[in-house]
Amino acid sequence: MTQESEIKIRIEDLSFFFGDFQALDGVTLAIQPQEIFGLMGPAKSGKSTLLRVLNRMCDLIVGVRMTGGVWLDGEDILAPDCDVVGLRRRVGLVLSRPTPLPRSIYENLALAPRLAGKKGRNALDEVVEASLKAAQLWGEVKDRLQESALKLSGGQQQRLCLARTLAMEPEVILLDEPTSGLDPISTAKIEATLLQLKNDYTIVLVSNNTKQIARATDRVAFLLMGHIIEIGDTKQVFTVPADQKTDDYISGRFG
Amino acid sequence: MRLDPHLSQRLVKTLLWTLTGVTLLILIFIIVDIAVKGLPQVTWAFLSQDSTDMGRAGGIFPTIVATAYITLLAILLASPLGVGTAIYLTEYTREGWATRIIRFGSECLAGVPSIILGLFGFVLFVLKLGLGWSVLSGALTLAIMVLPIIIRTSEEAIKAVPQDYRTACYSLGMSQWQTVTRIVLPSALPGITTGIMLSIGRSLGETAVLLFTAGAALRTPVSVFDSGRTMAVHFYILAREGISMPNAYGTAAVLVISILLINIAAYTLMQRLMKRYG
Repeated sequence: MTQESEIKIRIEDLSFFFGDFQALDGVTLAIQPQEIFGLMGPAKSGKSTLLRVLNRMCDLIVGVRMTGGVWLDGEDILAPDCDVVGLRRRVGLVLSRPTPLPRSIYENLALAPRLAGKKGRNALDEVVEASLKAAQLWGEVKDRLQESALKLSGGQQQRLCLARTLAMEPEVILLDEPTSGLDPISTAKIEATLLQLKNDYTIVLVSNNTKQIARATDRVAFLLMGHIIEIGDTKQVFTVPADQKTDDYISGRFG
Repeated sequence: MRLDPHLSQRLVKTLLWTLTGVTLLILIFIIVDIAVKGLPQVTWAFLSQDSTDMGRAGGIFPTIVATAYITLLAILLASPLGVGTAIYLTEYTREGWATRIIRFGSECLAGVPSIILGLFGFVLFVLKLGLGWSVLSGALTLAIMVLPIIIRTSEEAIKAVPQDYRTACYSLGMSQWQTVTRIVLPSALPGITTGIMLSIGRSLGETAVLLFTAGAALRTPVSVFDSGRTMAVHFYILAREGISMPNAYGTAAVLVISILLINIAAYTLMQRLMKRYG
């Protein structure tokens, strides 16, 4: 096993309930820094739920309950006194649908950093430019930063959302099926961006697309009905899966 | 039996057209009637001079001031209360018995006839609190009257803001207050403005409440404790007591034109806001 110092996020025996429905059952998992960790599984397997626990976005849903523990750099993030707003600044989330805010492209990127205390026109300009470049969107929008973000195409909006998350300079980036609604070219751009980003960030990628998981991730966990069936290096899981269910899933026999 | 789809389509279209036409006709009839009988009286002198001989002669300057004064004060009192309640109901609490009671109370308040509200204002503000017949008593009672409108429309407007905006804000590490003030409220502003405009319209046209609470003094109110007669009340008294029909119509014309102007101004403002945030 990896040492504690090399673990970015440690999840231990995590169970999660929506009312009577149990979405996660005893999940134990360790995510390392500077890796792209994939979560795959059929619909309702709990992968999105797991992702939302990691920055406490699950708090927004009424009637949820969880047991177990999650630690970010050894800090208990399920503790009642955890600073959730601060946590979300460290752990960014990109959703499956693009969710641009009804503001200019510039404002979409600058708003959250400014509210988090980043001051000064120059500093904000720099953040906006750097994050747009990192998300491979700068060239397409640099001349129209003051235009509404709602006018961008779907693929551009999704890269904007990725850039917006980067602008917060988080430590961890969570992606919930970030390319599910995108064309192949936009998908390729996002994947290329992720591969570049992994040097500086810890990335957790949820995807329905097993090919994407195989292409983009270093390690992967296969979830089924709230249980982890298998965790391992992506290459190994996709070539010699240890569990028959994993084999069935990645070869498309169900899910 | 089945109607031919083309025929039924045409029938429905004709019917809906007629209904719309009738509605428009009524509106046009009222406006034309007021314009024809009222506009001839509306001169600069009519707008700028004091009333004399109980309104038989002179202008309507005091009633214009009283109308603006009372309406403005009522809206200034009701808007923060109403919008605040709407924010609480939609963003800061979960649906439960408490929200249901607040909503039920607000609906009931909306159903109270204005004459009864006037009586309530008279008992509470004019007598009990000793404010007398005054701009303040009138504005307070009007504020109670329009509060449900503002709560209701603001609530609908806030609910209509896409949930995605909130999710995006929270996932960027924005606090709830930041999310509400920076994103949710600006997006809901057109709807909230509509509610406030409706309230201004109701206040401008209200008579029953003000007869009881603001009195009918035909002097220009200066302090909030002065009594004041709004244009609508002035119109009512001139017409009801047969003092001067031409002046009553003149007052009505000014009232209708001001409502029109306010609506146009609000519409223009809203277009600008939508452009900025859309």
